[in-house]
Formats: sequence, C-alpha cells, structure tokens
Amino acid sequence: MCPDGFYRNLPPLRSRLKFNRRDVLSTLGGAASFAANWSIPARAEVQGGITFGLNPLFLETDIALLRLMQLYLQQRLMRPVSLVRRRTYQEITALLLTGQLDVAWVCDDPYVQHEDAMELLAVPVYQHQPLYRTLVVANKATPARVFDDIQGTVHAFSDPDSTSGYLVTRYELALRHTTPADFFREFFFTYAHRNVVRAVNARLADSGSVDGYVWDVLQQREPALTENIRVVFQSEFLGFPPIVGLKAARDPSLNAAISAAFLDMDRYPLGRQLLAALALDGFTTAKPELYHATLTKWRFVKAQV
Amino acid sequence: MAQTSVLSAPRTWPLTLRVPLLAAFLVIAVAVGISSFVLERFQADQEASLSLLANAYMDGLTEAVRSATIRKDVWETFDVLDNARRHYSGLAPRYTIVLLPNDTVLAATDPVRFPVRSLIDANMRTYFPAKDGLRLDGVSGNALITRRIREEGLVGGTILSEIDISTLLRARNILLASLVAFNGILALAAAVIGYVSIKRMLSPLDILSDHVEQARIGQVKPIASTMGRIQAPEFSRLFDRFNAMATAMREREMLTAQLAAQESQVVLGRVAATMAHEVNNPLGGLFNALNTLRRHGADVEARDASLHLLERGMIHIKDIVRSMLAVHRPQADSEPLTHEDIDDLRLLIAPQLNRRKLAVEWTNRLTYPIPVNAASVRQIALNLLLNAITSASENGLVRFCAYNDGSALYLLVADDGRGFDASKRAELESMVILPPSPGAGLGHWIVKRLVQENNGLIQVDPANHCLSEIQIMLPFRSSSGLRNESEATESTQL
Repeated sequence: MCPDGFYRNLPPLRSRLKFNRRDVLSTLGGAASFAANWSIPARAEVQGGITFGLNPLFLETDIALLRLMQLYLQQRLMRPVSLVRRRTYQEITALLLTGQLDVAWVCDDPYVQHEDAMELLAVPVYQHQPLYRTLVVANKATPARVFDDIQGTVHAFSDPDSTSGYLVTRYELALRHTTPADFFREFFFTYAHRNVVRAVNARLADSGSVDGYVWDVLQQREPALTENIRVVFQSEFLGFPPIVGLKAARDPSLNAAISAAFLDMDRYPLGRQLLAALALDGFTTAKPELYHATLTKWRFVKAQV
Repeated sequence: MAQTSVLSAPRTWPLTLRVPLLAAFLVIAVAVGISSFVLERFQADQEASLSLLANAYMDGLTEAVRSATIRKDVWETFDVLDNARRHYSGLAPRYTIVLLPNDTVLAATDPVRFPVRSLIDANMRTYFPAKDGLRLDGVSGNALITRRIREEGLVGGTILSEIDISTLLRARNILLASLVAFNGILALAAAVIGYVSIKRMLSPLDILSDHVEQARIGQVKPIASTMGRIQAPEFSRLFDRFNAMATAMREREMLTAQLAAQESQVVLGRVAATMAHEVNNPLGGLFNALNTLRRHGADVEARDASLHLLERGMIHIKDIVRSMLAVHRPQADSEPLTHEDIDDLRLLIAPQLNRRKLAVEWTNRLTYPIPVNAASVRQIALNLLLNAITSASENGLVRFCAYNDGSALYLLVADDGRGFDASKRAELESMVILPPSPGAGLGHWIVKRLVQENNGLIQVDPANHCLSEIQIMLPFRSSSGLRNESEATESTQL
C-alpha cells in the first residue's frame, strides 16, 4: 500500500513518540492548531514533520476539509503534517522556493513560472481529467453577456499569481492590447476565488475572474452566492493546479511518499472522504507539458509588460 | 351666548363639575410631569446605551479596516464591513461606508448604492456629522455616526454609518403610549371618583336647597332628623340650624296668622264702630220722628214729614246693614264676582271717607260676573282702600277702578299720599312672601298672600303719575285652578 522506502524514512522512536503525542494534541486542538499554522513558520513548528503549503484555491471557510487533509496525510506519511496557508499565492511560492515548505498545492501559474525548481508530485483529476477552466462572471444586474461587455466595469480578480483569477483575463486583455487599468473602471484583488464570487454577488464588483472548479463547487454547495451571477466567458481547458515539491528536495524520498499519498488516495476511506470533500475524482501524475497553455499565456502577458 | 358666558366663568360651574375636573387636571399635571421625567430619563439611557454600542462598534470597525483603508484594499475593507454587519448583533446598521480622504468610496456594505470609487454626494456628506461623533435623527429613525481613521496623526479615511434606531424609537413610543393610556385612565378614574364623591358629599346641599325652596314658597318644614344623623358633622350642624330657623319661621307664621286674624277683627271693629256711628246718627232723627209722631201724629203734615224722615233713616240703616252683610256673608269660592260686590265696598268705606273728608273717584266697569274668587277680591279691595284712605292727605283724593280684559280682573287703587319707597315697592312686587315687619300693618301682607293664592300680580305705580297707585291683576280661573286655589287656601289656613 505504501510506497517503498517510506518506512525507511521514518524518524527515530523518540521522534515518533513525540509525533504521536503532538498528533493527538493536534487532533484534539482542531481549529486552534490551524490558527497556529497560519502564522508560525512551518519549519520551526514541525521538526521531523512535513510542512504542506496550500494556496487559497480552497474554500477559505472549509476548516473541516483542511483538518481532514491533515489527518489523512499524517495517517499515510506516519509523521506530523502542518498545513501552511498564506493570504497570497506569492507567499506560498516564496516559502516553498526558500525551503520552508516541503510540499505545496500551488496554482499552475506559479508552477510554470518556477517549473525549473518545482517537481510535479500529483495533479487533481476533476470530472475525469486533470483539467479545469477559467471563468469570467458578471452580476446578472449588469447587461454583460460576453467578455467585451465587461469593459468599464468594476472587476474583481483573485490573485496576481492565479491563472484563473488573473492570468487568463489578463491574457485576454493583452490580446486586445489593453490592460486592466485601461479596460476596467476599477479593479481589485480578493485573494480567494470564493471572495471573487462574493464580491460580484454583492455588486461590489460588476464582474470577476474565477476558477471554474471553485465555481462548480460553489454552485452546488452555496447556490445563493451564484444565483445572481452569469458566466460571460470561459477559457479552454488548462492544467489543474498541481501538488509540487522541490526538485532539490533535502529528502527526495519524501516527495515520492507524498506523491503516493495523493495518487492512491481513493484507496483509503479517509482519502475517499477527502476526495468527496474536495469534489475531486482523485489524483494523477502528469508531465510539465500539461501546463503548456498556461505557460504560453504567462509568457504572452509577460512580454506585453 | 349663555354657554359662552358659562364657559368663560368657571367659578359659576357647579362644584360637582369643578372638583372632578380639578382632580383630573391635577392628576394630568402630575402625570405629565412624571411622564416627561420618565421619558427624558429613558431617552437619556437609550442614547447613552446607543452611544456606548455605537462607539464600541465603530472602535472595532475602525481598527479592523484601518490597515485595509490605508492600503486602499477594496475587498478587505468590504469583507470587514460585511462581516461586521452580519456578526454584530448589538446594532442594526442600515449601511456603512468607508471613504478615502478625497471623499470617494473605498467600500460600502451597500455597493449598489455606494459603488466603489464613486464620489460621495455632498448632501450625503452633510447628512452625517462633520466631525467624529453621533447624531440622532428622530424623524428618519436613524443614528448617524462619523469616525475618522487616523494613522500617525493623518486621516487615512472616514467611516460613515447609518444605524437603524427605529427599535429604540418604537420602544420610546410604546412607553409614551403606555404612559398616556395609564395616566388617562388614572385621570378619568380620578374625575369619576371625584364626581361621585362630591356628588355624595354635596347631597345634603340638595336636601337643604329643596327645603329652602319650599320655604321660599311658604311651605316651611324642618329636615327629617334621620337625614342629619347620616351626614357629615358640618351638614348635620347646618341642618340643625335650618330646622331651628324653620321652627322659628313656622312659629312666626302662626303668630302672623293670629295677628292677621286680630287685624281682621280690628278692621271689623273699626267698621262696626263706624257703622254704629252711622246708624246712631239717623237713630237720633228716627227717635225725634217717633216723638213727633207720638205728639203730633194727628197733624197730617207733621206725620208725613216724620214718616218721610223715618223712611230715609231706615233706608240708610238698611243700606249699611246690607253692605255689611255683603262683605261678611259666607260665600262659596266658586261664586263669581259681581258688579254689586264691588259697589258694596263703597258703602263700607263711605264713613271712613267722610271722616277724613276725602273725595273718591269710583269706577266700576264690571258688567257681568267675573270668574274670580269674589271673597278674596273684596278682601283685597277693602284692605287696599282702607290703606289708601289712611295714606291719603287731608281733604285729599282716593281713586278706585275695577275692570277686566276678558282674561283677568284689574283693580286700581290710588291716593294722593306720600306713596311707596323703593324697598316697599320691591317687597310688594316680589314673589317672595316675607313675614310682616315688626310694627308694620298687615294690610299689604294680607293683600300679597291673597294675590299669590289667586295667581295674581301686584304692580306699584305702573302709570307713574302724581298719585301713588297699586294695580292688582287676578287672572280668571279655570275649574282646575279653582281646585288648586282651594287647596292652597286650605294649606295657608292650616
């Protein structure tokens, strides 16, 4: 069940005992543990453990889901796992690249920017393929029906390093030889896809750029947030945000163990529970070419800037 | 008109109205005072509580949005405002706006009304306090708060918040309505209790008033002793005094009646004496005539002269006797007054007139029997004539006239005497019969009683000429009037 070498990398007994005690405390601590993980540097917090960075792709309120992920990974990896979250993608990317995180679930945009340093460990499978779309949405109170109709509106982006929450829309504007500052009357960042939807729903913004996967989940779980919003643009399929480690990892076997934990998640009850919570089919391996379209867009935009 | 004068003079209102109104007014005055105090305190407490809540709300909000406002972060500012609105249960903000220093909207809880980066309306800006603070707008039911976001002494933005205080105002209005209703009921109860109490307390006055009224019309009777015992001591004493007065009046009335009877006897005596004198004068001639007849009866001439003298003397005596009989004969009340009844009086007063050498102008225009109490009329006319003869000047004039107009009999008696002073005139014309003044004659008092018994009227000097004159008007009576009059006379005699 577990990948070879996984047990070889187990820490000494003392560390294991310490891990068990901390694990229990962490389990009992629940949300309080997350609060700590949000602000304390991962490496200092978990000696001998694993630090896992998460970008705000997740529904920010879904603490139970994160707790489930932590339990699953600890169960599979037999060591403490700290989930580290930051407000921006850039912070998570910086923590990973500087070695303060062992592994991270990043957006495809940061991945294509730092492909040379990052190793693809697993890619989510959503609706039977490791792909998703970017959506541009507008409040139904606006007359916007297609992308060009959102010109002059107040627009909500998710994150400057998000493919779906910024890059794709930015790319579409670059194709039109314009920029957000010129195209929109006003724009701002919400640093979460769910917040983009909230902003458009509340008419704080007339339009917004949002992840298609998050949009689908919100439509199912919080229809009140989406019922006043229409989709005015959707991109082609892009590679789903991956789970990456560092190519220059201190312990290469750890990358393999983490990759295995994600890839055979559907074989474990807790894993299936986690997949259901994430609304994913599972995880798979992928080659960097999966993100070619994202890379092309990023380069195009970068060239314009 | 009369209503206006009553309204304009509350002192003329009855006590049963004034006291309850005063009680109600006092209750209302006290209630208004207490209500104002309670409402002011309630309002002050509400405002203090609101101020504390609002300050706590704004303190938390200011700290939460400070960083985002300085960074001009639209979403984070909105997120804070949105969460505060949903999670702060102490207040009910209608909307909250965060403005940048140039008065453009950074974020608002109502982005549709206040879009991002839009310039806030000048009227809206003046709607809120210019400086940090809270202002209540009772008309719209809102509290308006302004709070500046300061960072290192510089203003980085401003928070404007409109708080719904309609709940507080509703609570205040409910309190006011409760106070008004409660105090209104209290005032009404005080008025009703006051009315009933005063009505009961003053009920002895009604009893007293009834008895005084009865006394006024000559039916004095004491208040039953059982009534006095159940009243307050003040009224009990008053009843005792009234009863003492009533007893004295009744005794006086009885004495007066006795005096009147004696006066009648005196009048009768005077008349009898006069009549005796009148009879005595011809008696001397008659005896002379008898002697002449006895001595010279054979002489035809002397006999005829004596017989003629005897006849005249006898006729004179017959007239006097007839008039006396006419005046004093028993007569039924229902018998009408005739022309002769009046003329007989002239015979009756003739000796008095002669003794005072008075001229008389006698007018009797009664041509048919008049339906009035003849006995009363003769009594009235005789008393008035005797008084006039007494009042007239020496060798003066007495005038008498009797006539009717088809509905009433009129008697006019005048003399050339001194006439009546104002008090005597008022007393005669008044409907109130007071006991006769000590030392005064009873003639007028009897006249007045008889006139009232016959529902008549007395007027003094109606023609205003040189003679002093009394005019009596006695309405013709009906059969029921006769019965009533008969009862009245009976009660007077009792």
